[in-house]
Amino acid sequence: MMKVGIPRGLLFYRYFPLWETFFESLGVEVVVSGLTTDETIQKGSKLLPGDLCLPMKIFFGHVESIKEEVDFLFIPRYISIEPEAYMCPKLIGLPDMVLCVTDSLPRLIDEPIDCRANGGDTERSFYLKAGKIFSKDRAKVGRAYSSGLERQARFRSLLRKGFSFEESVGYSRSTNDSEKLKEEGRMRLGMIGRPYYTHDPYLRKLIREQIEKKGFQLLTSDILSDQEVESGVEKLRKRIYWSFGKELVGSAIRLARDRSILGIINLASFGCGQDSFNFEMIQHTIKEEVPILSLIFDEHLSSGGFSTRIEAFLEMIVRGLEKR
Amino acid sequence: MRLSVPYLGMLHRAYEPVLRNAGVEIVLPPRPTKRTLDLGTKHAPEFACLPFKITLGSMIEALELGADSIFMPGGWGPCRFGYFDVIQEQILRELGFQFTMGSARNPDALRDMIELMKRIAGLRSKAGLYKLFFLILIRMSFFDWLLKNYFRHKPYEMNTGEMDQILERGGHLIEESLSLSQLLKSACRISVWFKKMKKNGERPLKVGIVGELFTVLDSSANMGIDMRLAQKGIEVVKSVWLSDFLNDRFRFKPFRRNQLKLSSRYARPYLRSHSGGESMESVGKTVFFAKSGVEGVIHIFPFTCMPELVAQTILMKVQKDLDIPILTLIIDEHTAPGGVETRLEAFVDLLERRRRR
Repeated sequence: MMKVGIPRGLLFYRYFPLWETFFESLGVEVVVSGLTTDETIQKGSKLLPGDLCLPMKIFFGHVESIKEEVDFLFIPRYISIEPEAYMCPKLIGLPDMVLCVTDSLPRLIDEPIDCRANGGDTERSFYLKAGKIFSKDRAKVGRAYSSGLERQARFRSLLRKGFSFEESVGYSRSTNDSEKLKEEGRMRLGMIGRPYYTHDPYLRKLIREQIEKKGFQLLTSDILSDQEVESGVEKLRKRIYWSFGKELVGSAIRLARDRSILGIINLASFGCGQDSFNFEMIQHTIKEEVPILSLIFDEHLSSGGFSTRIEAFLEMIVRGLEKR
Repeated sequence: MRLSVPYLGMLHRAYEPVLRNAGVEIVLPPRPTKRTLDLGTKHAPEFACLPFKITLGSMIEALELGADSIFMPGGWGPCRFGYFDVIQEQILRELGFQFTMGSARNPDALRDMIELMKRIAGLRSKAGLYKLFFLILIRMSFFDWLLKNYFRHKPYEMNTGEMDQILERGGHLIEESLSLSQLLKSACRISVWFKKMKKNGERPLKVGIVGELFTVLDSSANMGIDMRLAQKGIEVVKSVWLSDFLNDRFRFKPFRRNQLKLSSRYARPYLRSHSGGESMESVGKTVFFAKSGVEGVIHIFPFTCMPELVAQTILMKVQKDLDIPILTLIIDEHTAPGGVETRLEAFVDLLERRRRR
C-alpha cells in the first residue's frame, strides 16, 4: 500500500481530518509525523535561516523526521482559500522551500490551491488533481473528497462545541453526535492565535495549559462560526485580505463583545509580519473594552518567562472582578 | 489641497515638477533622516517592516509641514504593503492629525490610479490626468536610465568624481524636462557626456543587488550600499527598478520586456509560484545574474519581510547550485552604517580573491 506522509505542522491543525479521510477513501495509508519535541525544533532551526518563524521551523523538523518512511509527502501550496484573499507568503512558497532545503525527499504532492478569483479554480479541483496520482477513477476521487469534506465539517462543529483538537479529530471519525458537558462557573478568557499556535501540544503545554490549570476556561476562534467571524470584521474600513488575519481580528472583536469574557490573550510568533498588523488592528478596535495580553514566542522557549506574565495578567483580571 | 507622497528612490524628482506645473501644491518633507526613522519606529507596531516605519515617519514630518493629503497606494496581496494605508491612517489619526489618505482599491489598475489622482490632486480633466500620469512614469524611466548608466560607467572613470558630476547635472536636466521631446533631447545630451568621459579598460567586479523594492532603491533604507559599491570601483546591477516595476503594470514602454515574467522564467526551477513582494524577482534575477557573469549578489531586505524570507531560504540552494556568493543584509532600525560597511568590505575581498583564483 502507498504511504502518504503528512508533517504535523502548520495547516495540519486546520485540515487534517479532511486530508486523512480523503486519502483513506482512496486506499492510501496516511502517516503522520510524531508530536513536536525539542528535537523537532532543533532540526528545523538548523535547516532554515534564523529569521523564519517558529511554526515554519517546527514544520521543517517534522518533514525531516518523516521523509524516509513514506512514498509521498503531502505539502500542498496554499495560495488562497477564498475569493480575493491570500494566505501567508511563507505558505505560498512552502513546497519550494522544502525542495530547496531538504534533500533525499520522496515525491511531493504540491499542487496549488488557489481560490483567489471568483468562480475560478476551487479547492475541489485541487483534490481531483491530487487524487489522480492514486486513482484513475474520477468519480471515486470526487466521492473521497466529499466524504473528506463531511468529516471536516463534523470536526469543525466539534471544535465549536469546545472539544480539544485531538478529541475532535477522533470523534469526527464517527457520525454519532457527541455533546460536551457545559462547564459553568469558570472564568472565561479569549485566545487569539492561528490554529498551529493554539493546537500544537508543545506550545499548548507552555501557554494554554498553564492558564487552564489556574481555573480559567479558554475560548479560541474555533468556537466561532464563519458568519460570526465575518460579522466581527464587517465594520472595518478595509477588508482584511489574509484569511487567517481576518479570522484573528474578527474573532477578537466578537469575543470582546461577549460580556462574559474577561480578557484576551494574543499569541504570535517572533517576527510574524502579518500578525504585527493584525494585532495593531485588534488593539485599535477593542482596547477600551477588554484587557489584552500579547505573548510572542520563538525557538528559545522557556515556560518560566511566560508563566510570570500570565500570572500577572490573570491576577489583574481576578482583582478587577473583586472590585466590581 | 497640499499633497505629500512618501519618498521612494528618485520618485519625488519624477512627479514633483510635473504636478507643481499642473497647479498641485506639493509638500516635500526633508529626506528621511534618523529623526524620521525614530518617529516611525516610535509609533509603528513592533514587527512592522522598515519601509512602513520610514514612510510613517515621513508622513508625520510632512503633516508637521502642513500637508493635508497623503498618497499611499494600498491594494492587496500576500505582502503587507497593501495594508500600509489603513494602519498608517489609524496611527496618524490617533496622533491627532487631520488629513485625507489617498489610496486605490487596486493600484495595479490604471483606471483606479487615475481616479485616485483625480481625487487627491484635485485635477479636473481626465485626458489631462492620463497625460500627466504617463509623463511621470516616463520621467521615472529616464531617471532610472541615468542611474543605470551611472552604475555601468562609474567603475571605468579615470578622473575621480567625473561620473558623479554627470549624475548630478543629468538629474537636473531631466528634472527640468517637462515633455517627451525635451526628455529625449536631455537624454541625448547626457549620453554624449557618458561617451566623452575618459575611461580605463580594466574589467571591474560586478555585483548584483536583489531584494525588497524599497531597500534596493532607497538610500535611506539601504545605507547607500549601491553608491558605496560604486565608489569602490564595482559595477552594480539591480534586480528591480521602479520604472520596470511600474512598466510591468502599466505597459508604458512597449519595447521593454515584462521583468516579472522574465524573472519567473529564470526562477522556475526553484520558485514556481509568486509568493508576494519581490520574492520572484529576487530569486529569478539572482539566477539570471549568476548566468550572465555577475560575480556576487547582495540580498537586502527589511527585518520581518515575509516574501524575502521565502526568497532567502530558496537562495541558499541557488547559491550552492550556481556557485555564486550571496551576502544577505537584513535591515532594521538598529542597523548601523558601520556594520554594513564592514560586511561589504569583507564581501568585496572575498570576490576579489575568487577572481584571482
